[in-house]
Amino acid sequence: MRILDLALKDILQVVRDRRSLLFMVLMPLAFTVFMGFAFGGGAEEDVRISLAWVDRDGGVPAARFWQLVEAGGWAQPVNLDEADSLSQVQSGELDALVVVPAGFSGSLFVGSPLKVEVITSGGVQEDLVRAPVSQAWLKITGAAEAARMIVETAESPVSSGGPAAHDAALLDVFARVLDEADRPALRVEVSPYGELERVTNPYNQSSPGMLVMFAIFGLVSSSSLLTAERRNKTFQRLITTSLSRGSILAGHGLAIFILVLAQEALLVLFGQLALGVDYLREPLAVLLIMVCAAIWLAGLGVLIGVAAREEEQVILYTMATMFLFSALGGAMFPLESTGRVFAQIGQVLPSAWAVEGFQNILIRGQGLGSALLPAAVLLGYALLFFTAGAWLFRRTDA
Amino acid sequence: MRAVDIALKDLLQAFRSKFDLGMMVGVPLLITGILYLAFGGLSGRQAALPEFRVLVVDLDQPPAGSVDLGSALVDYLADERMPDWLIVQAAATEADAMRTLEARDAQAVVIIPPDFTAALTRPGGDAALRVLHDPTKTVGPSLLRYLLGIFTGGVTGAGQALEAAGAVFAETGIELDAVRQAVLAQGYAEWYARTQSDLNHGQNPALTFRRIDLPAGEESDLTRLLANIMAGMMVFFVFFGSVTTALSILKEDHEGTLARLFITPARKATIFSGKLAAVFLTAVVQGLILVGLSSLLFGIRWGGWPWVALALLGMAGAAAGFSLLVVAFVRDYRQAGPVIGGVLSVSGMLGGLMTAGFEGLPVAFIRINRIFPQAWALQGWRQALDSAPLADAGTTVMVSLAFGAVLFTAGWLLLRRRFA
Repeated sequence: MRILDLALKDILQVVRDRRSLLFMVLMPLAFTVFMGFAFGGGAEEDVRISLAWVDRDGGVPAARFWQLVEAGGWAQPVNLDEADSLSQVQSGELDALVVVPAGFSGSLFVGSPLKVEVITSGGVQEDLVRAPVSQAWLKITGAAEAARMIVETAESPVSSGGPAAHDAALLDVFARVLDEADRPALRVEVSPYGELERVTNPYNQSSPGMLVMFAIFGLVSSSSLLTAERRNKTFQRLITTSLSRGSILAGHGLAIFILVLAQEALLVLFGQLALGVDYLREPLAVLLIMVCAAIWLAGLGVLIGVAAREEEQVILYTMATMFLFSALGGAMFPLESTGRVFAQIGQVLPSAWAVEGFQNILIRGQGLGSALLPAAVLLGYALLFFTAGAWLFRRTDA
Repeated sequence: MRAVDIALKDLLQAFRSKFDLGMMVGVPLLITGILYLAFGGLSGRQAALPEFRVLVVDLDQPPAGSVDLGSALVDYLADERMPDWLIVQAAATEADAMRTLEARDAQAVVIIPPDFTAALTRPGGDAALRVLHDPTKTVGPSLLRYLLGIFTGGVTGAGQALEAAGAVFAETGIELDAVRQAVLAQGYAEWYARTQSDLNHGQNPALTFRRIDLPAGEESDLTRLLANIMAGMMVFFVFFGSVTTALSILKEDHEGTLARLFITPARKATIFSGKLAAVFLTAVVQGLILVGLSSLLFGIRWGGWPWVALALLGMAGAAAGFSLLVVAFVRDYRQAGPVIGGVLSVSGMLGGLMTAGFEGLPVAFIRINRIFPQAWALQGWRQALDSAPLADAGTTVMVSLAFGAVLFTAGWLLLRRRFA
């Protein structure tokens, strides 16, 4: 019962501070809208690979090669001469440069294509250029090879009339084979599993991300109560009562849990009503993740409150934790866009599990079952942080 | 002289506090450092792509005596020369694969249909490879599509060649008999197998890839992006540091030392000038430390000294005025933390500091940026990074200082009334 009283006291203290409350509530709402806007809701950033094309050949096949690359939609064409392109690739301003050598078109039709060079900047992942350029190159060389074989197989009829007619026939057949390739007998149909509408709502990424980020940030207010209690000597008074030290920590932890849960509930409601994030499609699963994330953050909040000697330190520890957990855990930007090692580290963090728990429901369209593992991991982290907080509490108290 | 003493005292106090140093220097470097490691690392190269696990469900039942195109596709994807981020495993059934995909143990499933070979070896037949992927992934599925496209090009190329040949031969009145068809199809298939295999890996690949890494000491595009992010973080935390330093007014008021100062011969204007000078100097010193450390740690090139000096001047002037106004609005020192955090975060966000690394932001958003002093301070640093004409950098500084002056005047009027 006393634990409840202590928790109630903490909650009242935070709720009565209207400016802190505004800060805990309004800021997350503003940032959620803003980040969703920045990550796909409104920003017009071109994320394609910037690519310059140097055509030293000038032939039809070389031109068709470029058309195929352009049609892929992955490259943003940049018009530059060769020297400028090379210099910009070197400086990293340009992602890649393709150099088609002189004589390329002719070489295709004699079965020994001249080397096409693809130069990439150190700042771009080479595979992002390699795969699509390779596919386009194979299409072009394949069509040329087919044209060569067809003309040769037909022996004289289509190639009679001298070299000029022969070349014209090759180009004509080359174009026909490419036209056939536009109607492929084998298609590759790539699609995300789940409903497209759910996948394309940018707030499905930013809303749970900001929820986790600001739930951590909210610890500034709630964790500092522990520190303030020590500063105001009310903690010393508390330990003279029959309340055990464990109960004191539990009381503060309970208050943080309730505050975080309330903040989460508000953000979920905002996401649902204002941003079209369908949290309520699996209310139980969402609730489970919310509760477990709040328990984890209560553990973290207790640890920060115990570790910090002054309220200012609470801000520092909380902000550092928020940035570390949010950035590494995929709450600020998707881990897919980072490097391998960074993503591997990030995936084990509790913030990543919380975000994943929400994404399973919001983006992957899964049910309660998908929330169980993230919830268990979050509870494991909660236990770890509570234990660390209790140990530190006992040590500093001693 | 007294104003200088007050300024020095506040300055020392700010830089002696481990907390203040952590917030003013540690956190901005930490945030930029995390992004630095996330997207580039120390090499200045793009980091390796995260692993992408693909399950292949081969349901193909090739007709007797026919080639097994399903197995060929599995072998193609599992080839050791495939990119190292692509991890391919076989799955027995579509249900198994989907379960694994939904359990996030794989990121994509490639389903080869039962009539795959049969459809593709039948004249006019067609087939579809289905790829289902984790909806949170975009890069891996896109690359997988291209890799599959390379395979399908080989499989369908012969058929396309035959279709084209049929049309050509029909126009010339020559029959494309079975022998000619077989010669064409086999010739093409052999060529494709050879070419695709040697495409990137053979001894003399026809498509060569070369990566140009920056010469040592050169600034990469990635560093450039981080420089912009660092500029945003620097302005944000310099404004934070300035407000924290300006808070000494409320702290001294709370502790009673401000009242003591007021009964000394020092005029209130002198006292507040000292406070303002401390805020200005804190911003300058903090800015200098961040410029120096970010150059050392991340290789950011901030431009020459004239640009750095101008950007520092503009930022410190704007931050000083802003701080005084914010502090004038805060009534209670103990409640200052969250309020200041809120004001700084919202104004920083609307001032464009959180999106300093973004390009192509909506024009309306950029216009809103302009009404916040942080945006002008950020512009000063961007001009330093670009080594923009000094006249432009000078104009930016003037606007920043004008912002600072207006905000200072408003803050000063409020504080004077408060401490009258």
